[in-house]
Amino acid sequence: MALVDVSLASRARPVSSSRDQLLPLLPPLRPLLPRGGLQRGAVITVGTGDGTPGGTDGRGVGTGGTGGGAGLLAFALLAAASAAGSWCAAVGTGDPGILAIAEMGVDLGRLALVPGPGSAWPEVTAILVDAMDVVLVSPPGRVRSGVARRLVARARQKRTVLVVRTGPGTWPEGPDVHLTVEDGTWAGVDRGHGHLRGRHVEVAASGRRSAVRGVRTGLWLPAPSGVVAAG
Amino acid sequence: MQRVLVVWCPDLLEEQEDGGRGRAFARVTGAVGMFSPVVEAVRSGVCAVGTRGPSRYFGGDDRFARLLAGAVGAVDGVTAEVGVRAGVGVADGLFAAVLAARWSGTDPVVVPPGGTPGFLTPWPVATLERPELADLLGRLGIHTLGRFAALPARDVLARFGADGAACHRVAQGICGELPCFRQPPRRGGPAPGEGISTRQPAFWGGEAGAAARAGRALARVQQLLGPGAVVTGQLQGGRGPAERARVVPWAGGRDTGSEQTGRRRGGAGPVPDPPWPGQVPPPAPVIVLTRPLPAQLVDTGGHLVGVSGGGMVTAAPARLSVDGGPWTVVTGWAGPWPSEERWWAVPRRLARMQVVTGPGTAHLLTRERGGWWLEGTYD
Repeated sequence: MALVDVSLASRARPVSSSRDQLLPLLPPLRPLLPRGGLQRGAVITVGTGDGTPGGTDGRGVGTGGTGGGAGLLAFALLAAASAAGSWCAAVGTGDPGILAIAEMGVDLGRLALVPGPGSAWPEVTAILVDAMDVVLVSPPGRVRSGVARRLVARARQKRTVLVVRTGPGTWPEGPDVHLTVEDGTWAGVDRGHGHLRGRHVEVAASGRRSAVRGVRTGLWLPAPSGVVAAG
Repeated sequence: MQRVLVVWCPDLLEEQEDGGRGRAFARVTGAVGMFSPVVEAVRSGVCAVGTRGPSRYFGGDDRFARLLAGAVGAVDGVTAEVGVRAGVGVADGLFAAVLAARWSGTDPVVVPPGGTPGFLTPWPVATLERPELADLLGRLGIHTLGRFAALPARDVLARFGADGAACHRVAQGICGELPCFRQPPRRGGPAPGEGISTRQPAFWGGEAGAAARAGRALARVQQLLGPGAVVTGQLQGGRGPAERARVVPWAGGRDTGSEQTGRRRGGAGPVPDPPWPGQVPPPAPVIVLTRPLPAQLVDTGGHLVGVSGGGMVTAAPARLSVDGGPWTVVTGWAGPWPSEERWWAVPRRLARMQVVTGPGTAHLLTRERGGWWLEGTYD
């Protein structure tokens, strides 16, 4: 009996409702994206505003090679979707801080990581775009426009959300939304006192859609408890 | 191989919705923690301590194990009226110690030093928790660890791959621990280290279809880059961010138990979270290096900053360079937090420090063996 109910319910539901097209976002991030969610098939780039390269060197680190908050924001974008059961993958993000990702609300059981794909990153990303709901990729440097175009086309076709961690000029394709992390300030640390509590950043959204053009929002990335909070 | 004592609580191996078993297990690790400052929660219901120090102090493995069994026996179980059922075992290496603990009744089982290979011989190959391997070996007429151990290592590697070879070394008593052992036990899903199942039944319509599709894609990536290239994260107790989370090879299909998916979220729940002295306060760094990079932290005069025996920095840090890279100005710093950890391999004395360098960028540094290391970055 229950089985019959389920099949009826699925048949009665519209094949492609707008709900299905939109994956959930953490509430503090909603102002940044059109309709407050991750649009299936959308391409979102995340970078920093101060000119530090967003792409990592495979180890994912270096005192000059990180952006103050862009790495965390990229994972924050997929947190709510993973918690709602969407399959997510992260490619080329180096050694990930699992604890930080989990504290932010990412369901680790739904996130597969390919930390060091090397030169095979476009191929790996393409395979995962075909199958996952959200793919986060951090290319190792400047991306050739042919590679970027193919990945974008694939994401659109497969209705997969593609989140790209970028540096200035590393991603040649225009995204649907570009998020810039600026003015990061750590709170809680003095010269030898306290401990890191939270980081306040400004995130600016720009892109093709007028809905988010010029939107800026203050975020705690992360807040003292490790979550993302508006502020 | 290190002598290990394991406490095995058969009733606490799986978490309940209300977290009652997790809390009972936290009481167990707390009781064990009275005897040794370094207790590792291996999985839910299983914790381990190195015996070298405590046994010397309490007068031998036997005495230590008895004292500890008594202390654990006095712990309240899930309900206060019933105590925790627990086995205590000591052996060389974690795998044998777990078997000893499972085998023990009211008295602890202590496998004498060097006696582990002989102790392992009669156990069934199923104890390796590799159903496919056990099945194949069974068809070859090999049912015990002793018979498996007697196979030539080269043949095992050729026939069963790297994971099979690792199990073989464990069966021989050469290696103390199975790959992927330290994780919460699973209900119903495939065993750790098993290949990705592409034959997931589509009971739940689109949901299982999505899982199967994701599993197939990840299997393709593994074919392309090697099985270790796809990983997933798990949380556990510990002090540093690298200890509190584990990166394990993706084993496929582990998501199916919804209660387990839920428990990995947010770090709460069954990850037994006893107080870890020396734990760095949250939030955690976004990048945690599996191999820390050498770093130089100097004061305004360019002299290396040290940490005194009293846990204070010898001078205010002014500049930081990682792995021979460019110098960045230190705008703020906190710590150091002294810590003694990783009894599992070699005891370590270290101190951690948070250092803010750029706009919004901070690093977690470790001071150890007279040098600074970059352990993580708050990217």
